[in-house]
Amino acid sequence: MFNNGLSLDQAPPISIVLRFFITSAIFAIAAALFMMLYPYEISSSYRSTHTVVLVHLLLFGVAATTMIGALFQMLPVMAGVSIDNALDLAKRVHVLLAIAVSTVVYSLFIGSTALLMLGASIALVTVILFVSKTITKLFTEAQKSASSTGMILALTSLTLAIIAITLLATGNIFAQLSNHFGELRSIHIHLVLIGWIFTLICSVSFMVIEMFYVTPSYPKIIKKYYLPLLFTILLIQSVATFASLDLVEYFDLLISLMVIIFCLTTLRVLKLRKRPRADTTIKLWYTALTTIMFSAFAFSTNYIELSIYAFGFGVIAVIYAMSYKIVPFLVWFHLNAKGILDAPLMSEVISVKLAKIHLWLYWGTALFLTLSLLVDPIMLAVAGLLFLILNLIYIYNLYSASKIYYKRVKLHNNG
Amino acid sequence: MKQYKEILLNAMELEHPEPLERAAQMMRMLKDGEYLHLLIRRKPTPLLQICDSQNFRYRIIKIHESRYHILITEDSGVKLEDIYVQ
Repeated sequence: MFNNGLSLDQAPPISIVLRFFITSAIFAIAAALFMMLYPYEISSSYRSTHTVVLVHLLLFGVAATTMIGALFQMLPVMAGVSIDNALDLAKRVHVLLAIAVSTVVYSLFIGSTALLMLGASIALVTVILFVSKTITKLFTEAQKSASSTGMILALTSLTLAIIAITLLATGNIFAQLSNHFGELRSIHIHLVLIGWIFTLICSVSFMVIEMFYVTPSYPKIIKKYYLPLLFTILLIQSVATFASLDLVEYFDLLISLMVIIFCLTTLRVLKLRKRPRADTTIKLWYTALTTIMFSAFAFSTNYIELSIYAFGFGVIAVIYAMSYKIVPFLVWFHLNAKGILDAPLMSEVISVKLAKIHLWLYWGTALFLTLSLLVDPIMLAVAGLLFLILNLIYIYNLYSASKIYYKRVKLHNNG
Repeated sequence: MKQYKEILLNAMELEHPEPLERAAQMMRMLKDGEYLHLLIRRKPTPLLQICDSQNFRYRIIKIHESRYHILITEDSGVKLEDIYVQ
């Protein structure tokens, strides 16, 4: 196979990824401030309004925004899938997503169903816009692999989850749907947490763990059957939930077990890597896998609050681990593609020292989150403060990377 | 058959991003009659995109899922299709 006309146009401009990542960090700062302002309200119950607001800020505002931004980069560069008019699409998706997150979070905070319906509808439009442009390409252009299959399943779950929440918000208008409030909420939660977020983490892991950290391959049986099986379980569970069959808990146990299996497999693969080096990103992966596994264990033993905190914490660790790989890569890649010979090495794009401080602050956040459950809810405010500082550092790191890029491009263009 | 000079980079055991960084550096130092032979575990899509943008030619030989030979040259006189790879 010779030059196959891979176009640089397929690779997204660095500005696409940066705008999603910086927006996600702004939502993280909002979440941190929320933790500092309402520690007691958030700690009162995992079903409290304040907890629901915090969860949406973290998982919709931070996680989904970063994950969609990262997909703009991963699909073309790693999976060889081209997104038509990527920049235009990214701009639209970015603005709509930011409006959807802000509207949903605010509507939950003030308890406005009408506003929630508006926010859910915008989210649905955003997701359909993004998914319709990417999922067909994944079917037709991507090399068939565990990662591409996982991405298709994750995007399908995301769409179904947003449809569920839109129906939930509409349920207050249509009496028939309002009878299924609890069921639709349960379906939404499962599809978002496991179908979208966890499935995408697995898909990314299949691709990047082996490549970034030179590990042995995942067992073939895991790569081939794990995600389709997980998705099938989720679908059956969703139908059973909607039909009000009393089986949800059994499915939850099964899903928890599957999450633990994946985390243990990945930890083992990482442990067997050929060139063990302990950089910040690998520590973030270890942190993420351990806490997500712990979350599944806590969930299966009914420690729901602990499970929610651990899952959110683990997911965000993956997000930081990926960002600290993706951003330096994009800076290096675009500079090299422009023929700029003195492009910095990827390790020089983001300060190693600041990334380490970020990691320690993250562990500190986890410690105080745990203490807020065990000692006093006020510890949540301390966790919020640490989370605020680490996100300011994160934004600074993203800013420094973009500065390196634009400065080199400017020098190059000026001859 | 004309002999070309091979510059070998075995990146099978290198951790990302070293294979890409080293290959990008080495391919810019290629002289006439030389080609870079990159041995790598994954198809290096970003590197190939850089090759396209910088007018390098390449040939991909996939041995199996985790072993690729990538031949890269800037010299139009180097016939990549004639190069035998074990």
